[in-house]
Amino acid sequence: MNYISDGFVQAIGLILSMDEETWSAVVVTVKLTMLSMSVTLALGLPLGFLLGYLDFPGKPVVRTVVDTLLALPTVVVGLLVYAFISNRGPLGGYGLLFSIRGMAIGQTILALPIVVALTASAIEGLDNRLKTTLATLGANGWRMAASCLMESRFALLVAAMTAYGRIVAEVGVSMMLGGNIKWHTRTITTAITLETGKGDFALGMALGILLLAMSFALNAALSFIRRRADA
Amino acid sequence: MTEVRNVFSLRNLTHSYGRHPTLDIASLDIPEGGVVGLIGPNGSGKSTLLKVLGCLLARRSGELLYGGVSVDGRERAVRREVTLLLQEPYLMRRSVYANIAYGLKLRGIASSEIASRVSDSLARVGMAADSFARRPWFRLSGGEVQRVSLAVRLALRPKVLLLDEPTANVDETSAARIKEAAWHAWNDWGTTIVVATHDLVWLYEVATKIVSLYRGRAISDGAENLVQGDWVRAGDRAILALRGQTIEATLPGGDQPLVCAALNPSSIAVSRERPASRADHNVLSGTLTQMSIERATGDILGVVDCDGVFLRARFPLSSAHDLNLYPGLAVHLSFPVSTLTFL
Ligand SMILES: Nc1ncnc2c1ncn2[C@@H]1O[C@H](COP(=O)(O)OP(=O)(O)O)[C@@H](O)[C@H]1O
Ligand SMILES: [Mg+2]
Repeated sequence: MNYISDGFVQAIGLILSMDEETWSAVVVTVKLTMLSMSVTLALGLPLGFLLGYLDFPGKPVVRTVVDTLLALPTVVVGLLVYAFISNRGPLGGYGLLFSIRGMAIGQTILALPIVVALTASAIEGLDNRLKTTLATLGANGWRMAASCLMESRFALLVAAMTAYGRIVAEVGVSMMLGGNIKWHTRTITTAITLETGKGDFALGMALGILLLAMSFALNAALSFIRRRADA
Repeated sequence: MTEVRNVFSLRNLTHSYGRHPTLDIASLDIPEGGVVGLIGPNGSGKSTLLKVLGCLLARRSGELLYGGVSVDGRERAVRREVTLLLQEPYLMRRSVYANIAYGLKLRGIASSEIASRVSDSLARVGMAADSFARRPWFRLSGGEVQRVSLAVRLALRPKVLLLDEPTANVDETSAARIKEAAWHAWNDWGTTIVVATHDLVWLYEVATKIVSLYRGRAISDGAENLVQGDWVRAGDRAILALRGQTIEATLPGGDQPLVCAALNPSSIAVSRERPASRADHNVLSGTLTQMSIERATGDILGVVDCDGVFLRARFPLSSAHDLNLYPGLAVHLSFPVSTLTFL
């Protein structure tokens, strides 16, 4: 058991004296997560909203498909996107393989079903008096839709945080599409995999602590904003 | 003398959620500047009618005129002038201020004007803007939610205010504030008010017209008494047994179910002495429990408890005076067998 506590102490030391290589993995992770989250939310919120707000034939089928996609294994996404963006694939000419943009495509595919499904559920779960109330106040069309979105903002925040959790924690897509290239596409999670494989337990743990700290900071910021918004 | 205009006119209007019609109204007018009461048992279609008037539900057939013109194609415009306080009010997950400001922003009203309307509306429902405007939606009691919801509508200065059982689920203070606020809206702005309620005492005080709904049908006058129970056939009469006495009614034609008979309060005579029995009259004894003045007619409405069946009788102020009627008094009611009509 000693090597765990020793590793932890060493890890703290490593974080405090962060070398450039580790720092680069952190920067790549932040860049990649920001890109993936932006695209996921930009696509997922409108799609999920439409799915929850509108009634159309075949809606249950779409819901079932989206729910199934929630369980997509990361390596399957990695494999599929790889097939498309590798040199021989249809998108081979864009130089996406082993780039942050290529990794973001995979992560977006991974997280999109989460945002779509949770947004749709949030909109469907709104009190059915809401629309009637908005109508009695004279709202319709876009105004009504925007107000419904506003009413479900806390549930949408949960959707975004869940997607964030999935994106920041995954290894498969980053490894397969990014290639774990030092200085370029090495993220915190792929670095942890590598260091643990090499037996550098303390460095892996240091990276893990950094990852947790990032999530904690984000959550703390959001809960602060939320408390401000409530008051 | 100016002609009374109708804000709403309904002709052969029907609505249904499924197969059975929830509304089937042959003719109904809501006069401008009036206070119209909607009464009727639960499920009789009061809420549905209010939603149809508010252009929140589409009717199935018939005509609905707003200001003399069909609402078809101008539902949005009508919704800007007509607003409904839902039976179960809902506040958006925002502050009280933001809830009240919502409809005003929609109408492009300047923010300084919004601020003053918010305080004014809150004051009208008896809430101080200082302590309530900034409150979030979840820090309000049930009665306060209802009052804020009314303030939200008052801020819009509606032409027509539709109220769906506004005092049903609130404490006495809130109920009193709500009634006052509705009255002031009518008095200050000439707002036409249509209110569904079970509070008949209040209605008789303020209503200029009372409409009874029964199973979706409007019975304009005289259905304030609905005599429901196990009516049984006996010869050419239907008989309802109360504890110690009976009510008789002329049997309706056809195979109409004997469930509920309407009895016009104006056809009931009240007396201190028991009138002589007549074959074609019911004579009941009971206790006068309530008396109120009816704004629409200036007459007195007395509520008489006849073995648990509460009947309303209408009589002029002079006879209340001559007979020296007061609540608690034992009285006799008499009305023709033929005035009961089965619905
Ligand atoms: N959304 C709905 N779907 C189906 N039936 C409804 C709906 N709302 C009301 N009803 C039915 O319509 C009838 C009239 O209801 P309502 O207008 O709410 O009556 P009231 O307000 O007088 O109690 C009732 O029989 C009720 O069950
Ligand atoms: Mg109702």
